[in-house]
Amino acid sequence: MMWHPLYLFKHAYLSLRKVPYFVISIVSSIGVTMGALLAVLTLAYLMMFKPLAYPDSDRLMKINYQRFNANSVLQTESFIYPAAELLYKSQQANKIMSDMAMLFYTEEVIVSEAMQPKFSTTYITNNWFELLAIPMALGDYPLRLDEAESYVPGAIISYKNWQSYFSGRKDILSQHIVINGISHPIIGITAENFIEPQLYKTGRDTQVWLPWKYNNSDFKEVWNFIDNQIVLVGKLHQDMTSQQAALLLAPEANEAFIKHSDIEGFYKNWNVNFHLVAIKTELSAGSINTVYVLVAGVLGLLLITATNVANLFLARIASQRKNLAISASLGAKKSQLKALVFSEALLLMIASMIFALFIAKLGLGIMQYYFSENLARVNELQLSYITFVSGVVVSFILACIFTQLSVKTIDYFSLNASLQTSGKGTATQVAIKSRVWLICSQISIAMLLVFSSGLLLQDAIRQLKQPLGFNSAQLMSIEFAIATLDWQGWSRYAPKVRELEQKLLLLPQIEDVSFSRTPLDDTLQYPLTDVKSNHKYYSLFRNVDHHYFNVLQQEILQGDGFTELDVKQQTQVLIVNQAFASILSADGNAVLGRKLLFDDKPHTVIGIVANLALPTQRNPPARFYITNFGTATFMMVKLKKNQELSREQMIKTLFEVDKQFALSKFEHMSKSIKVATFEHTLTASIAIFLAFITIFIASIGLYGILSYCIQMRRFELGTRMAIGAKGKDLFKLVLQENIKTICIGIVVSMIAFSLLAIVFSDFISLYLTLQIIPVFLVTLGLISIMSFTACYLPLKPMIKHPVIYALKGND
Amino acid sequence: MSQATVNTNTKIKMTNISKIFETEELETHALRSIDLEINAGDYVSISGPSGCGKSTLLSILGLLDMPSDGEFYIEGVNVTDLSLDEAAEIRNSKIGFIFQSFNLIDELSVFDNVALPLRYSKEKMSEQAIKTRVNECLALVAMSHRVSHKPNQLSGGQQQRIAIARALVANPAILLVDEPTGNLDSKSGDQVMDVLEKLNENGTTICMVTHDPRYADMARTQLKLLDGAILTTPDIVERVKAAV
Repeated sequence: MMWHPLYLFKHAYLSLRKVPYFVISIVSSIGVTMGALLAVLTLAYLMMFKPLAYPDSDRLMKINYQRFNANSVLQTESFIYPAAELLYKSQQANKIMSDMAMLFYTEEVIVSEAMQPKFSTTYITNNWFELLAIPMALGDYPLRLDEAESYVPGAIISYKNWQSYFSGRKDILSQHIVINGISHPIIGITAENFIEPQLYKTGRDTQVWLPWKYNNSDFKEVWNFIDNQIVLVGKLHQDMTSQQAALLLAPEANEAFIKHSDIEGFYKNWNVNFHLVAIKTELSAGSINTVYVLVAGVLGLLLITATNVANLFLARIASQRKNLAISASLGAKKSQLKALVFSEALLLMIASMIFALFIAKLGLGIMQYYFSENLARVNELQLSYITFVSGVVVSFILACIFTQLSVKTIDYFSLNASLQTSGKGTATQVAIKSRVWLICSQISIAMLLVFSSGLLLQDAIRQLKQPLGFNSAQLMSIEFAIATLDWQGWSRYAPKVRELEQKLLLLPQIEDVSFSRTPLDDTLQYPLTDVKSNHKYYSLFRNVDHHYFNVLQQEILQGDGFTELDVKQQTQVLIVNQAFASILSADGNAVLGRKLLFDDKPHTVIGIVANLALPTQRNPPARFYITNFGTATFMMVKLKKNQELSREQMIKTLFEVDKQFALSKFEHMSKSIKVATFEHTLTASIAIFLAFITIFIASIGLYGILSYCIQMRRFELGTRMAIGAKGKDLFKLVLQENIKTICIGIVVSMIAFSLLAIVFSDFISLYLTLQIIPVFLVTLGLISIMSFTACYLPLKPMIKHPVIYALKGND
Repeated sequence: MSQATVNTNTKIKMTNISKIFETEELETHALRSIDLEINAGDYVSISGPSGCGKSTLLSILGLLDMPSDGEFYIEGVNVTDLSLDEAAEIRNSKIGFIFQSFNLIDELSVFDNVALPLRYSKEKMSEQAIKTRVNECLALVAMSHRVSHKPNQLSGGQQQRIAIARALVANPAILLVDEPTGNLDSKSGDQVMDVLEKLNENGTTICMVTHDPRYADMARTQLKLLDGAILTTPDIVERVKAAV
């Protein structure tokens, strides 16, 4: 009866109730790390093993259109628009694959809606829905969406979009949406449980599916340029391999490419091949390495935590030695003592697992929220039986390990209980040796991680606080699209844009308008040549109008900005930033007045402006500015102080100028900056979290080790108190005994950091400034507080109670 | 710490001391209304059956534990409600402990074990003074030749003599001795008792817990405890002796 499992669990429960800190330490530390492990294992299972929820999903292939140059080096895997259509037509005729669908991914403004929302749209051939057997919540798909060749309008909306944008309205199937001047009747809503394969971009979900023929690709008849918005998916015949299908598809595609390309010139001896990749593999391809790193990382974390918790278990066993020795002396077999210890360990691990499941759920939520664009298939993530099974297995294994470790020490304690004081030198020596090693490793790992996190945090804060070089207050970035499939050339729209400018300037809220891109978009580069020295530069550049520097309040340090005349007459002038100016002035000549060849025309440098410190750039790069034509579909709008411009007003103004002008971006600069600095904010958050979790785990580890050692020395410390030692004397004693080890740990961590700094000098040198000193001091302070606390807490029950508590040797 | 108006000869005075151990389920009265006075030079033994409260009384006498009720004076100083640190100071300066299981610290040499109370003393002594005092005490227990040894290199009897030297080193008001021979063979036990007897003859006040009647008889004042109460008070013993 005594060893009945129920009795054992009851005994364990009652016994654990007396030690709440022990329980909290273990459940929280194992819970957090096991939770992280469960979340990552769930993700790994999803990516590597879980089949996709489409029929015969293992036969669904993404078709990559590979082109190799004369040296058989792969140049691109993206389709050429006409080549894609040709392949699709050939499939319809020859049925080389069981089925095939074409998809064109884009974003479009819905001009029929008052707020002109921008939706992620996908143009598809109708068999896409059949291929995936997409379940529908409302309506049906094959009836109206027609073949690649026909123009029959119709739109299918995702369930999420129906709920969020159309508020789940019941009469949705009687509605129309206008995209690019075409009114599409809404013919269906996909089912809530449908998960779209994110083949174009991880994290990108389609909101509206439309018939293929209505896509507005710029490359419809163009064989010279790739169109990377196209994806083709085919389904293999049952008895066919992907290689066989690729071989059968290639000849016709190759022939067409040769027929339409300049094979005597740039494309001489090029050839086309196909590479078919299972969509399951394709979806996870970019994330598998991340998952391996995550699994390794959390396993490492769990290992460190488990080591620390093992110390807590040893301390616990040490405090229970008398009870266990008594049980043993009463005839309890070792296996029965083991059962007692195991029941306690298992109970703790079950509690940790329950906590871990909450953490895992939270972790999966965080992954879905923050990493939906970085990790494949996270939209399918949820707690599954894999999470539960992994939790049970990990808990059981940990309970067994902790029991085994604890039981190993029971014999020693039984002996120790009877030989209270003498003849126990050897065992104590062993404890001291392992204590030194354990403390040293805890301190060095904690110091290294906290110090590194501190450097990352400090750098992220520095980047976040850095002045941008322009005034983002009351500044808006606005873009519009010309919603038509019938493009008439810019000269038709430019006068309208000028009209738009005048209308905007008449609005009482608006101070100024500049038809230029937001300074945060920074990708264009162009070659320049110094007319005199023939020196070549390949620098970033920006097309701006004469209002740009004024609207941005970007300081002109020398010379002048652009004038209206410069823009009107396209005067051959340019402005350089400080960084470019310092490169130009390296030859000792003046920068202003210098002539640089831009597009083979000499341009004169008329001004030098201050650098921009953009969130994505650590050091301001060289940049030059040239004039644009004073009109564009993008603009920066400076609002007057305390004024707001509403989206509705902007839509109205655009509509008044031209019914085809559809608002596609309407954003405050401060929001754009927030998005652009997200990386730094994320780094700062991760660094704080990492430092916190490191301190937490290391504290538990140190506490466990010292608590164990102090339990081992309870009689000795009790004796010292009996002969007059005060609490502070004991604290001093414990601290003195460990301070050397703690210092060694700190030195080891600094040596490790120096070695890392040498090996990864390119990366780490970015963070090595004079500011390293305060980070080091703060880290040292944190580690010291942690060490002092870890020395004091295990002593606390002893020094806060009468001495007899320590001398009796049991709770 | 308040001074009480007691005889300057009185080392220990306990009035109405009781100790109750409380758990969730029950209350145990370990000591009930103990009145006790020990004067300078006394040799008191406390004996009684197991569970009668001997160890609890010794713990309270040695300020290792706190009474639940009553008043307690050591050399006229009220020590009933001391803080833990104040109690540590009194233990260090006025009480010498001798434990059944010796309680020597294995990592320290004999010298350092004996010197330990002086190192915790409020009045800091020079190394030379410590050395002189430790050697004096080791000479008293005839252990001067084992100064550099570690406790686990000594026999049980030798260890207990070291423990006696440690108890004496701070010139305490009283030696509290807990079953000093419990872990020793009879020969070693006798030797230890001889040491204690000689110390008492030279003026050391001793209060000893033992259940060995032979050793209890060596004390001049014998207290018998039963169910937490003293059966025989010193006065009664005196009167009985006088009457015989």
